[in-house]
Amino acid sequence: MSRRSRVAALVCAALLLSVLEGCQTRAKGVPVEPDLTGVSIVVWDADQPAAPGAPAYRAEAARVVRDFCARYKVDVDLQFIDRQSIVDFLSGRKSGEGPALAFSTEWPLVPEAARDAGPYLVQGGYLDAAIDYWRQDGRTLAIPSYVHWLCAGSRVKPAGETGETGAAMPERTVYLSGSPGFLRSVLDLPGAGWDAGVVASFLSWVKAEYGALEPDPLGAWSEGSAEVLYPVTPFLLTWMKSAAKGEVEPLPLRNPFGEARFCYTVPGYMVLAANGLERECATRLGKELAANLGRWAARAVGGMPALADDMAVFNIESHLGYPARLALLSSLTGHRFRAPSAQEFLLHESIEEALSPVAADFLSGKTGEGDLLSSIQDILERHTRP
Amino acid sequence: MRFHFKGALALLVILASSSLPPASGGASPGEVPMFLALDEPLEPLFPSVVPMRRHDVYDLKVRLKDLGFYSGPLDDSYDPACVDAVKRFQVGYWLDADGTVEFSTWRALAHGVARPEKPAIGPPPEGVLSIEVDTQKLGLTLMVDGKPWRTYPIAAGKWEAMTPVGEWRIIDKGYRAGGPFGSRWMALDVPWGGYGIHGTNMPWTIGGYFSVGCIRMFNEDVEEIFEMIPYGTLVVVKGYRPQLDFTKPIGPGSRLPEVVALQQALRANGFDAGRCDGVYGTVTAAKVRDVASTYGLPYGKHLVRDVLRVLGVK
Repeated sequence: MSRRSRVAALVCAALLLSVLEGCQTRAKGVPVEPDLTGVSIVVWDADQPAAPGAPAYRAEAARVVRDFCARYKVDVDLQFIDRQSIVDFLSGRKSGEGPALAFSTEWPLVPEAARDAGPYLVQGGYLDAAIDYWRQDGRTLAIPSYVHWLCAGSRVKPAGETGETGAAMPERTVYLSGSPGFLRSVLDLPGAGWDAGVVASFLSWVKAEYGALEPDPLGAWSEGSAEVLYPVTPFLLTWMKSAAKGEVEPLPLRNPFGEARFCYTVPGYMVLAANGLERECATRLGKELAANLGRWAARAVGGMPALADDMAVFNIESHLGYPARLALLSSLTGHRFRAPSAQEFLLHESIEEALSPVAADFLSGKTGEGDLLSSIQDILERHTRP
Repeated sequence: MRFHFKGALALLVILASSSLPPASGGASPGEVPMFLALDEPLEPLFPSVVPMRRHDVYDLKVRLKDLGFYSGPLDDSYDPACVDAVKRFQVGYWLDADGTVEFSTWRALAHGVARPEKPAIGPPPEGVLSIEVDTQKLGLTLMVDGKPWRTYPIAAGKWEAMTPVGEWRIIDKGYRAGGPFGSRWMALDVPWGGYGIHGTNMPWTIGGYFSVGCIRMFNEDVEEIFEMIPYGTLVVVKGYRPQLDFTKPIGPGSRLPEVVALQQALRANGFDAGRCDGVYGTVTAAKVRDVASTYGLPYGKHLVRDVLRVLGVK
């Protein structure tokens, strides 16, 4: 072989090697796919409601897991656990053997054991707000699935009655004062906080704006005596549509600060496995389950998939009108909500539980403003005392 | 010809014992549990100054009317007109015409009512056995791995005492020498009352709504399935159900038909709480909270009310 041919052969070999290396690297810092054969993990997921236009969730999740197991030759024990048990485990309220991968539920918290999934998530592949929800100290502590927004649900009067085409005409508003989103949608905003004064002024504002607490808000909506219900999750909005005789649109939540905005959480999948190969397996499966749930949520209830590539599903199959979709997307700019730590979550949950009867008594007129602030102060002091 | 007294006595003993059912392995021979006996009264009917009132009097009157002995109203009162009809019937069947309705009179009333002829069957195919009862179609189907194998006609509960809809398990079994439970009985774990599947001494009621909730079968049919059905077999009852009252308190510990409806709705909406057994236990409670969490509902005293509403249960 001539000298020129030898040099050419060496150059070709070098080029070929570098191309092969590039093909194996998926994103900056992500290692080559390891061999997961024989790895066995437990996954905790949760049931989702049956929804017209969307397949049964359990079957879909089982299919994703089955395909994953066949592809990687792993063993996955997919368990459907009730949300309370998931939260009890993640928050540390109950101990025991946990899974390698767990669904966060729609009201997430960040457990101490959550692993950084950031290196596995393609940069720019997810909605910024979805990533930021789970980002702490530079780490992304769950794989985001979809944006689970909170809003007010409002009947839309048919064109002709209002003079404007399909404009939402809120009249009587009823509210779910014991709902998980009722206080959090205001107290988690910038400039608010879990402060007695803020809570008391919020409750006073609700009573002044919307009147006394309705004993049966869902009943009032079903019977048609209420025009607006809040706070509403995507699932409850779906129920409102089926119960109403007409169209229902999501509206941003008004608050005492003069704003109106959609609030949100970002359910996702948390990797809890410490071991290298189990963690690898859990993370890869977590991405697939998160994407599957995101698409399912878009079809079933109009949730916004966290994966940017799946926004087409939201736009085409969510059954939300263009103005609503635009408003929801716009709500992701500005203030970014973030997942609370386990400690914060437990604290806020216990405060909410203690505040709920106090709020209900005030909103229904059994107690006055004079008692309200002192009751709230007592509760907050009891819960935040070191 | 010499009369062999001892031989005749022995023959009588043999004949008498052959009419008794074989003893079952592990079940109390002929003993029906008290809670089940409330459904089918075991005592005779007899004339009294104040007429006896029992639900089987209705069944009796139906049969006497069919036979042409009675033309009065069909109700549960063993009134003088019905007593008179019974006496005339007893005369025609060479029974003591005293108006007391017990074993022999019931047996005579059933004369001529036979189960429709069916070909003999062998054991069921391999698989998990379960039973499905449809009170609208009045049929009991033996299922193997969820597929129908054989269907039998039944009598179900009358309108004011319907057979409970739900998913039950067979918790007790036994043999019986005739009477209102027929030749076999199988008790169900319905938490609010005594219900079961059993034979009958009133075969003319099969194909109608006559019992106080139990599922009656021809004796030949219940005998056919009795040995195949193990303890713990799942029995799914579907069909007519009475008006449910969701205004009553429903919560942990409740054992109600309304809880069955809640459990069925949970399953239909993607939150399977397991067997729809009418017991609001920890699994049902967890699934109710699951729904509340998903829909953002308050966990307060109206939790079940709100969950029922979003699940579409009226």
